[in-house]
Amino acid sequence: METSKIGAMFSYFLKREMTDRYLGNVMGLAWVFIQPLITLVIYSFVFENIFKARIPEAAHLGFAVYLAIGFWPWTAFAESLLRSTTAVIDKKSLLGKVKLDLRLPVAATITASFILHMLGYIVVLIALALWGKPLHFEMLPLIVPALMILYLLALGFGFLLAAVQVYLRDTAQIMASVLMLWFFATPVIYSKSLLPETVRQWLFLNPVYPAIDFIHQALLFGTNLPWLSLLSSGLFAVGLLWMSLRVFNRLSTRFEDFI
Amino acid sequence: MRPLVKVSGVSKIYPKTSTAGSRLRAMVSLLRSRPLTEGSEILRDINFEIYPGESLAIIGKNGAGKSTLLKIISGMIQPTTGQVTVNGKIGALLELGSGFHPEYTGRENLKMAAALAGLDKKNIQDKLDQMIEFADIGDYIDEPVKHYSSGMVVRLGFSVVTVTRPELLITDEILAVGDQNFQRKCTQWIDEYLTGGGTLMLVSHSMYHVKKLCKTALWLENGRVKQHGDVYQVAQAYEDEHNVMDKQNQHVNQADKSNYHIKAMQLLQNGRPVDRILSHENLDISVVCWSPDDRPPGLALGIVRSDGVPVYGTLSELFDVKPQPLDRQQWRFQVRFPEIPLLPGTYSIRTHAMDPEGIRLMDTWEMELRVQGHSRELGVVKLPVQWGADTGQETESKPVSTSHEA
Repeated sequence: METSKIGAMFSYFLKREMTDRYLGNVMGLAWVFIQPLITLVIYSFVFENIFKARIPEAAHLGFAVYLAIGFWPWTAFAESLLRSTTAVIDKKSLLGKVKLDLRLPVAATITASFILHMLGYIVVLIALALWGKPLHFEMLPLIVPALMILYLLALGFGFLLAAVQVYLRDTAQIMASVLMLWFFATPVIYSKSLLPETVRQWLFLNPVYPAIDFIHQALLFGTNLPWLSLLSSGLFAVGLLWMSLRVFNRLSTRFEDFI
Repeated sequence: MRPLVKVSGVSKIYPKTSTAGSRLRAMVSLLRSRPLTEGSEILRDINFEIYPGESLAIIGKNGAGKSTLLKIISGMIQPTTGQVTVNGKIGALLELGSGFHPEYTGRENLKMAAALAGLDKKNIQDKLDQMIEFADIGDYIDEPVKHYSSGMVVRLGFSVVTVTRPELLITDEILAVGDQNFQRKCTQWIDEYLTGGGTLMLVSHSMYHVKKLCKTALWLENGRVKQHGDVYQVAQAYEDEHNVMDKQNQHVNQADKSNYHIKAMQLLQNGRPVDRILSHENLDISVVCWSPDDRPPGLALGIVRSDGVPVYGTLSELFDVKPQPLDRQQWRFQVRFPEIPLLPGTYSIRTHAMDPEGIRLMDTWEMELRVQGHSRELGVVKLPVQWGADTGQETESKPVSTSHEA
């Protein structure tokens, strides 16, 4: 297929993904901006006033700010995985009936999740700036590679999960639990300094940790950026994506028989 | 000339998918690049080519693999072994509403179809208007497709094809769903498309459509090619075989052998068994019935045309006839139709054994009878007719022979 055709189909699926999520909503895409602000207000109230949660090294910023910085990138990643798992079987009505490159809807689902949550992230960052929180906004361009790596990781896991889900329908259920565990295994709601040393040494096994850690370091402190671990995570992401596309291609030859 | 489609050695096995274990095994063998060989075989070693401008019909019984073959050619499903090479753009109109999302409106679905067909973004609006015009379903275009009637869905599907103008059009019998106006519109469009150099592949059970639209035919049986060639030859062979199969299947329903039933039936002429007669010849029918007690059974007898139109039916009871006993339990009925006035065509002679009270029909036997002749009169039977009766002519008119008679 020509590139222009693939581009047209991809942009069609992407648009569809974005509008479908808010289909029939009164406020439509305005939710992209309202929802993050509401979430931020609730979190800062619950964690700061009720739980009195504290992050020792970021005490000057408050807990809610620490949480917000890592929460949106994590949500974009987690939602991508959850949605991409069912991306192929959701296209059941098209499968075996029209000729279709099924990598496109998977990629579109993940891309849509990232675009929507990054829009939310921008809203939150602007809100924090207006609130006068002393974040290192000058570091913003540097977090782009970290977000790109998160995106690549999501694609890598996404293709794999979407293909396996067609054959093993338990995948979606398993992923819901795994993502919960993964959330608590990643320093988003707590900081790595709160972990005991014995646990902290195993953090490198978590492929999303380097990107989240990098974003925290850049925006909260502006120093000690963990470039090396980010780079290794980037290499891992590329390798994973290559492997998972191969798996997807092999399994996709029989999708229509198993869906 | 380069073939538009080349199908070589294509087989399709649908794998077992019912248990989690078989799904897991299938996944592992795919990851290890092993073909899946377990399962039910739908197509076996299919080879043929389609050249530009050709029109090919696929015929065969239900379950012969016709739809699977079309889906493989249109690239919707992959063959298990073998290869399909396509040198052009294919448009497929297969299952009803396939490829449409039920929740989206007709307009959104057309947009999706246009994107899937790879239409250019620039003239998509223009093309969209053309599609909507062809579909001609009024305000329904902005309703979700799930609210459509099946005819509207077909209209929508066909409108996509008219705009994308594929080099090969693959279609199932779905066109039959539309109303007459739309069918005419579609047939017209297909005719235009074929004269304009388009190529057609069609699955149909209607030999009439097959002969009207296609030049060649491919007969599939149990997943294999049984015959491929000129449409008239293949369609004739197909029809012949199916008539033979019907003849072998004389006992139409399962008789209760412990009750009154028919043991044998013969069509006779001058004492010799026949399966064809000339119009206005004598026809004898001999039926042997079995009775569980000493009482003679009854018989019902009818003639129907091959398309199911009843011609005549009669009961032994009405004429108060008793069959002739062969032994204690077997009884023979003899019926004669002198100079039977059936017009040329294929008919079935149906008989049913009845209880002695003439109340219950017990079983059904059917035999085919071909009536031959050269009459060009229309209908089922020859009725006595007097042309120009008011001018005083009293005798029955006979048709004059014409040069058309062969």
